[in-house]
Amino acid sequence: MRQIALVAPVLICATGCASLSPFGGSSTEAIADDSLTRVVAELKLHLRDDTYRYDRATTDDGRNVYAVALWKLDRLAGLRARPQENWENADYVIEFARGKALERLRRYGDAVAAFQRVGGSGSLLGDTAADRARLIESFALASARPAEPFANPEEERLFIQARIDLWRQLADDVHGTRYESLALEELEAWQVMRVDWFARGDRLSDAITACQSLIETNRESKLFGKHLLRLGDLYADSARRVELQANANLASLDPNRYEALVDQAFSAYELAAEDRRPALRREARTRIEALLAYHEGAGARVP
Amino acid sequence: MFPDARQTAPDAVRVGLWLLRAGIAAGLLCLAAGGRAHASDSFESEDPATRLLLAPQLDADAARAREARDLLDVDRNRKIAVISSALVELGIRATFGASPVKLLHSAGELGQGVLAWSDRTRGEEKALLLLAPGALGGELDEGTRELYERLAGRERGALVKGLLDDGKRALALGQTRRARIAARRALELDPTSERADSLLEAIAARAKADEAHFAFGDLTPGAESLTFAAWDVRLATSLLTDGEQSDSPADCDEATRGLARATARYEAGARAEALEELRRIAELDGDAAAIARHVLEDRGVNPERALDDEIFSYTKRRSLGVLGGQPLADNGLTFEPDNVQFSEEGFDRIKKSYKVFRKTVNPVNLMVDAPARLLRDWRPEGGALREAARRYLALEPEGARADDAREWLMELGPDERASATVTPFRDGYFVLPHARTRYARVAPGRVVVSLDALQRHAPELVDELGLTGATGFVFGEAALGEAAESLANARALELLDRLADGLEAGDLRARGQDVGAVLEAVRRLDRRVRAGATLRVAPRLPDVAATSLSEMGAALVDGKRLRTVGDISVIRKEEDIIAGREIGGAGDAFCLPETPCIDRKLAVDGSVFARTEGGDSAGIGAAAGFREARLTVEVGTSGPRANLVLPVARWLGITHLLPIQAHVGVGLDGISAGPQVDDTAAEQAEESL
Repeated sequence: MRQIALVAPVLICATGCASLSPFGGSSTEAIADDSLTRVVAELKLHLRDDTYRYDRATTDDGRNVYAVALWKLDRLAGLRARPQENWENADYVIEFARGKALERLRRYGDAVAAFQRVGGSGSLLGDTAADRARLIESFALASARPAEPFANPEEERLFIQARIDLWRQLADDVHGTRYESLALEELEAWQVMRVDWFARGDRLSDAITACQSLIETNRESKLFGKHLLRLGDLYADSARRVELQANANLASLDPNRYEALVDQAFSAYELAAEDRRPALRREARTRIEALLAYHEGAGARVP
Repeated sequence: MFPDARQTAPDAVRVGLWLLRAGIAAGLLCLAAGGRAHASDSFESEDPATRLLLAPQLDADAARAREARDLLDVDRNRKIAVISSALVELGIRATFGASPVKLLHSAGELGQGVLAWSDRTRGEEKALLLLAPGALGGELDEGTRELYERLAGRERGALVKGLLDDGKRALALGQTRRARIAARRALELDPTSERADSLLEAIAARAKADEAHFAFGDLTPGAESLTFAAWDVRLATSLLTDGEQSDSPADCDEATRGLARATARYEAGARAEALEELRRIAELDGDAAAIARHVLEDRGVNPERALDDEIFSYTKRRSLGVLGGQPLADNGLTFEPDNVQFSEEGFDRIKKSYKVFRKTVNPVNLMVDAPARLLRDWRPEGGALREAARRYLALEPEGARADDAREWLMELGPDERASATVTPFRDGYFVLPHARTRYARVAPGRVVVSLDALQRHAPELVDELGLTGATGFVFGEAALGEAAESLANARALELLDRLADGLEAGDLRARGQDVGAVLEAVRRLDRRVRAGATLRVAPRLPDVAATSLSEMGAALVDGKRLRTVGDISVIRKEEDIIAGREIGGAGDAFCLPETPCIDRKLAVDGSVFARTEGGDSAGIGAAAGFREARLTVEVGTSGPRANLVLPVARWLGITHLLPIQAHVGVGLDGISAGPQVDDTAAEQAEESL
């Protein structure tokens, strides 16, 4: 009771101001979605967002703004329900806006199809759509899936490397435009794939090198903290590998090497723990705890 | 050096209080159980209608009336029992400081009991049945007749309510005939029912509508394709073609035109102007103005909104953090109305927050930690606010809040995240720094040995190597500084052997770590020397006694160990603060943190100490140990007390089977003696498993 009596005023003092805050409430104003201008304006406000450096914008309830815009446009198109041969200017506007939303959602193939439908129409948006289709087509080609399954891991590595080179070239081509962030996101994704390929192939040393390269080239990325976590994992896996091999008498354990790997893993996790996002900080701290627990047992087995 | 004998006087007081509370609780439970028992004793399980038919002795009206009253009494008692037991349960839970959820549960039960007070019961129906023959024959006395009429009225009311509810449901389903029957029956039972009248009117209206619908068929207009105004399409088109709205159509409203213009400017990079335009439009009426207001609420678009949110969050977390530290800053905002989530996860968060709040009212926090945080100007993590301020200045460098944003950036200082993106880069290459996490080193490291220990176990080596002039020496392969000297391998091995022998024989003792860990460090060094490495030695000068306010604060608030003038050490462990000084020996000032440390073992180690445990108790005293036995004498807030702990099982070598020690305590509350679990032995046994 004493604690309740003491906690209650503290709680009220600490949180009471919240209800007086001018920022406490959010707008619940109902907004009509029946105007093309409004739907397009909402989408357009986020078309220049730098999605490589910052998280994608979300609505108040946490939904992706591009996905929401696409959904609204699809609904408008559904309400109009006109076959393509009977399309009017409004339909082309909807389709063009759909293309823009699709490209921001990295569905380049669908975006190209949308722009091409508008491009061949002779409407006011025709020329712009044709230009856009040509540009996004290169993105669509670069993100196309392989024609057939890889015959061997090396073929997969070559494919990944080719994609990295291609996206790097595209990123240079669109440097300074609104498409640069998209190209950098794609390039980063394939660089992560390369790290993963080395890790899957049990080539932890190469994976660490590739991950360091990934970090060096994506210093401004919103995923920088995640890459640090990935690097910490690779160092931790390497330390575990060293200890396991010694445990199985496959190799003699070099305590200095083992400790250096553990130290690097902790260091990478510590840097990741400085990230602004609480979820990532939590993840990093959890991994530090997990590695400490592992090291506690493994340390005792070091000769 | 500190007392390990447990003080039982506060425990005894605490147990006494608990027993008293348990007694009160038991008494209250007996009261509640008694009420329930009484209610259940009076309960008649047989059907009164059956009894009425089969038991001629109940024919008498007086007997039936008496039985009806008994039934009503039973019902009333049961309701009282429910309310009183809920009240007692609430009292018990409040007395014992149960969680708020349990308190709410009890309060809910109490509320349900009160609300159900006027509900009709089965006993009431049975009582009405018993009274009915007498009422029909006109043979009831005045009091019983009034009771019968009251019960009959309540039954009629319930019937009418049920009929009207049913009629309303039927009408909603389009079953007008059934609804009409129900309404008429309700009106027969209660001719004054307004609700029945209105239901009949609604039924009539519905019947007319159905007739009209039947007569004219389906007049629903055909589905029409969605259309847009021409200006709407033109505006949207020019938005998509990145054009400025210079030729905005005149037939669209000002807000819509402005919205399109602001959007185009925003996308063209003129964001400050666009936001200004949006703020202007937001003052207007109409859907476009609503859109503008909605957009201005978007933190991704409106940097002012994001800045305001982050300033609010930061200042609130800062206030909470000063009061209760980082845990409260992280969890305290859960209680805000906007942050309450009605989900399992939200419930767990509230529970966690409540626990953190409870810890805040701890006396040590209120007397030491909170003032220290206030003096140190405690601040929460400000990355989000820094980013919001920077973004605001990037988008609106001359905006209304620009000065505010700059001030916040000054106050927040350098970017914490910058250390992650800057520190590991050297000339553009990624190089990880050393870890700051403390973990047990497995590579051969360093060992610190006191001069006392060296003189006792290797006096000739001390003389030969000239190890004088310091209270301790650091031995290792590397990281010893420039003053380090190399030892010949034979001498190094001999020295390490002596140290290991001393530790194993119990003539030397490990400080800060257990003997096993220190022996392991000596063994690894030995292994390295045998493999060809050179052992080096450097004098270890103890830290200068520090008594500065900041260091004292670090010891009291952050739990760091502090050695003050007179070799007095101050340690904070959770809510306990202990200050002490060893009697005899060289102390442990020569030891290094996280480094194995070896000292001579005294036959009898003694210390004087002062301590406080979570603000609940405090005391000063002295402790002495001999072969793991401990004698402690203390004068505390609960009077003088002496404790003697004899680790009998440890002496007999059976701690793995029976980890107990004998304990004798003498204090104002009398003499206590008995076995006690040897926690240290239990932990060691667990580790060995």
